[in-house]
Amino acid sequence: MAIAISEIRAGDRLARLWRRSSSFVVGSALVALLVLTALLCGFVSPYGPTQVLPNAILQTPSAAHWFGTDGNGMDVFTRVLYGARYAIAIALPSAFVMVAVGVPLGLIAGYYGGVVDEVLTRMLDVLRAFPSIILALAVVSATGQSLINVVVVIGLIDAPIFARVVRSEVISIRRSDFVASAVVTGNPTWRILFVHLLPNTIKGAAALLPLRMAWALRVSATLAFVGVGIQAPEPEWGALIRQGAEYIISGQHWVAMFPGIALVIAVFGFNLMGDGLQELTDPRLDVKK
Amino acid sequence: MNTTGPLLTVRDAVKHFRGGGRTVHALNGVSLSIAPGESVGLVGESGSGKTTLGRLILRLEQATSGSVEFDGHDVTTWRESRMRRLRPAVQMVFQSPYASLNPRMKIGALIEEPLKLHTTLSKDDRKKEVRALARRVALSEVLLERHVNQASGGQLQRASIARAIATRPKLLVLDEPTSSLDLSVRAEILSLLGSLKEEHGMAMLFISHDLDTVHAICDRVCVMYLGRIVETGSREAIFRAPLHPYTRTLLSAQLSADPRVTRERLPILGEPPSPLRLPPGCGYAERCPIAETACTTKAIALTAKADGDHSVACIKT
Repeated sequence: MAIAISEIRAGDRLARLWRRSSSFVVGSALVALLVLTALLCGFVSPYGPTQVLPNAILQTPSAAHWFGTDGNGMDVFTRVLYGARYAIAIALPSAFVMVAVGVPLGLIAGYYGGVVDEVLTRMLDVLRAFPSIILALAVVSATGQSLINVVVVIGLIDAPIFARVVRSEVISIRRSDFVASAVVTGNPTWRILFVHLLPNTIKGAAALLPLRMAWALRVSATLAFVGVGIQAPEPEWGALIRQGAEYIISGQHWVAMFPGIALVIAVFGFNLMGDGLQELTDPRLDVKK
Repeated sequence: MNTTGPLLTVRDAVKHFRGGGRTVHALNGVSLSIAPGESVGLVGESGSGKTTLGRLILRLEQATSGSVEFDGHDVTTWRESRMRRLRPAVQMVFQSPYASLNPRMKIGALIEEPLKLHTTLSKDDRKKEVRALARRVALSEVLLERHVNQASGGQLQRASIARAIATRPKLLVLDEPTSSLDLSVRAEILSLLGSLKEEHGMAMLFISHDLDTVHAICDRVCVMYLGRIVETGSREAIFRAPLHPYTRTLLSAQLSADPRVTRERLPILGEPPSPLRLPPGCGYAERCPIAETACTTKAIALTAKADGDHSVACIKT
C-alpha cells in the first residue's frame, strides 16, 4: 500500500485533495502566496517600504506606483507587500505561543482531572470571559507597543482555546488501555503526556491553528488601527489602514483600500485553510477514495 | 529482597467504585499470593472482579482497603514516582492489543520503550535487543517498522508480550490475553506463553474465563465470583475435584474438543446478584442448587480443605 501511494503522481494527489477539500487547496494557495510575498517583496518593488518620495505625495495609482502613494510620499504597493512580512511575523509566533502554552495546560488538565482540572479550567474560563480585543488592547497599551508584546499577548489570550480542545480529547482517551500500558511500562508523567497522549490528541488543535492565525492577524490589525499595536511608518496592514483612513473622505481611497484588501485575502486564506483542515481531519467525512 | 516468601501477596483487597450515588462492589475482600515462578489462573464470569484485581495489583486502581505486597514491599500506597522503579518487575499484557498499543507509535518503538526507560543500553544495543525480543515472540522484523493499524491481532499481541517481557519481569499479569484473538492464533500465543514461563521462570497471573486456557498454562487456579475468591487450589484439585458448586457448574459448562465426550451439564440458575447491592451471605446462594438458610445469613470465609492446598468458601462441602 505504501508503495502504491508513492507511485501516484503529484497531479493526481492534488486532484484527490481537491475533491476531499477544495477549501484546503485554495486556502493553502493563498497562504503560500502570502509566504512568497513575504520572501520576495524586496525584489518585486524598486522602492523601500519606508522610503519617502517627496515629489510623489498622495498620487493616484499609476504605472510607477501601482497602488498610488500615501500622504508621506511612500509607495503603497511596496508597503502592502512588506506588510506580508508583518503578517507572517505575527501569525506564526503567536500561533507558537498559543500552542506552547495552551497544549500543555490542556494535557495536564485532562490527564490529572479532579482539582487540577477544575482550577486550570476555571482560570482559563476567566481569561476567556474578557472580550479578547479589549483585553489585548489593555494589555498591549500597558506593556508597550512592540511586535513581541503584540505576539505574546495575542498568543496568551488565545491559548485557552487550544487548552480546551486538547483537554477534551485527552479526557476521551485517558482511560484507554494504551495509557494504562504506558503507566505499567513505567513512563514518567511527562512522557505519558507528550509521547503518548499528545500525538493522539493534537489533530483537533492542529486543524484549529490556521483559523486562530487568521484571528491573530485580525487582532493585530485592529490593535494597529486603533493605534496601540505596531505603529506607522512600519508597514503593518492595520497601521497602513489607519494611515489611509484620514484620506478616505478626501477621496484618496487607495491608501487604505489596498492594505485592507491584502488583509482580507490573508485572513480569508488562513480561514479557508483551517476549514479545509477540519474537513480533512473530521473522521465523519473520511470517505474512502 | 526476599527469596523464600511469596512474590506477590494481596491481602483482603476491597475495591468499591463510587459514582452517581451508587457503589459498585467490585472486590469484596480478596486475598491471593503468588510464589516466584508460579503461574496462577484467575477464572470467573464477566463482572466477577478479575480484571479489577489485575489492575489493582498493577496499581492502575487504588484499593479501597487491603494491601498489595510485591517482593516484600507493601506497595499499596506508593506514589507513582516510587512505583515506577518497580514497574520493570511487574508487567502486564492487556486484553485487546489494538487498544493497549499506542496507535501513533511504531511496533519497534513500543517494544523498545521499556528498554529505553529502564536500561542504560545504547541505542544500537536496544535495537539489537528489540530484534532479539521479536525473534523470541516469533514476530517478523518487518513488522517492527509498522504501525498498529498495519498488523494483525495476533502479531500485535506478540508485540505486547515482547514489550511486557523486555525488562524480564518477575511477575506478568495477563488479562484475557487471548480472548480477542482467533482460535488458531490463540493456540500459538498460549504455547509462546508456556515456553516463556519455562525459560524465564517468571510468575504469571493469568486472568481468563476460558478454562481450557487456564488448564494449559496454570499451576494453580483461583475461582472468582462476585468480587470474592470462592475456591482456590492446584490445577489438578480444581479440575478433578471441584468443591464449590459454582466451580462445578463452571466446569460442566466447558465444551470439550471431542464431540463424542458428553459431560453432565449442571444448569446455572438466574443472574449473579448486582454488585451494587451485595447479599449478606454467600453471593452464589440464590443460584445454588444445594443452598440452605445458613448460606444466606452470614459471609462465608475461604477455608482450607483436607490436603491444605485446596480452599473453598462453602459451608456445604
